[in-house]
Amino acid sequence: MTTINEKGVLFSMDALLAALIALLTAAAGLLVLFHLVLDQTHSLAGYRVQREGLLLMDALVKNGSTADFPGLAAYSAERRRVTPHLLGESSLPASFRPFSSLQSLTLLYLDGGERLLAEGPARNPPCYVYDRGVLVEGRGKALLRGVFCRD
Amino acid sequence: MTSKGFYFSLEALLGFAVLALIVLSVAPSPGLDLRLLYTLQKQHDLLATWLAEGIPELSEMESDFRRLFPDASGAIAVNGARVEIGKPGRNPLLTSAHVSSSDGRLGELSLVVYAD
Repeated sequence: MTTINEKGVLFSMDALLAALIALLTAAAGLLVLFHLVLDQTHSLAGYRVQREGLLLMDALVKNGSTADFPGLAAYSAERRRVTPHLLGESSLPASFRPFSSLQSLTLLYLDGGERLLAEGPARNPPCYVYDRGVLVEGRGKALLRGVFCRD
Repeated sequence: MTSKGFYFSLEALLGFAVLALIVLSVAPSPGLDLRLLYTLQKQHDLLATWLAEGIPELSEMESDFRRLFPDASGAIAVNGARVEIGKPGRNPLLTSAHVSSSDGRLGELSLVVYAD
């Protein structure tokens, strides 16, 4: 007559299988979360540069030059206000206070000429290019092109 | 009882299926996207420059559109007269401005860019 003692350790395949499934599921879940976090980290750095580029270009085109900000929009004495999208050729600043991600700022005239307004030190890719449509006094339509890169 | 067997756990399998469904239902958040804002800004640029210089001919407006939106299609409408630029797409983004003429009438200048 056999007894439990003679059989030795009672090995449960059922419990082993359940444990393995639980561990694999936990590992898969953690791996998915890890990749989600990694994706967000990579896209966040690029998003910061894009946001700064977009907002800075908008501010340059719509604001005049002050002590705190080198806006490009010209002041109209007739209207007694800054005129967004209208740049004064003669009043464009000779140099720019560096912005953290600005690589270069160029005016591209419709007649083919161009004028470099600002150039920063070489930065890391990825870089983003933003074009804004403007009018330049005495020159007509032009594109204001800003290139923004990671620090 | 001497015969050996394999206890197949339905509970473990069910638990695994439920957990897998929960993990898969964690949808990744949509990527941060500023393209729509950029498109709207450029649309506004076009309208502002056209209104500042006086509304130009449609051919010139089409040329300006292609310069700012080289890879996109859209449409320009001046007081109801509409011109399509490129092949119409999906998700139109509409920006419009009302213009008052010297005779006091109100006209409309609108610009459509297809986001897709």
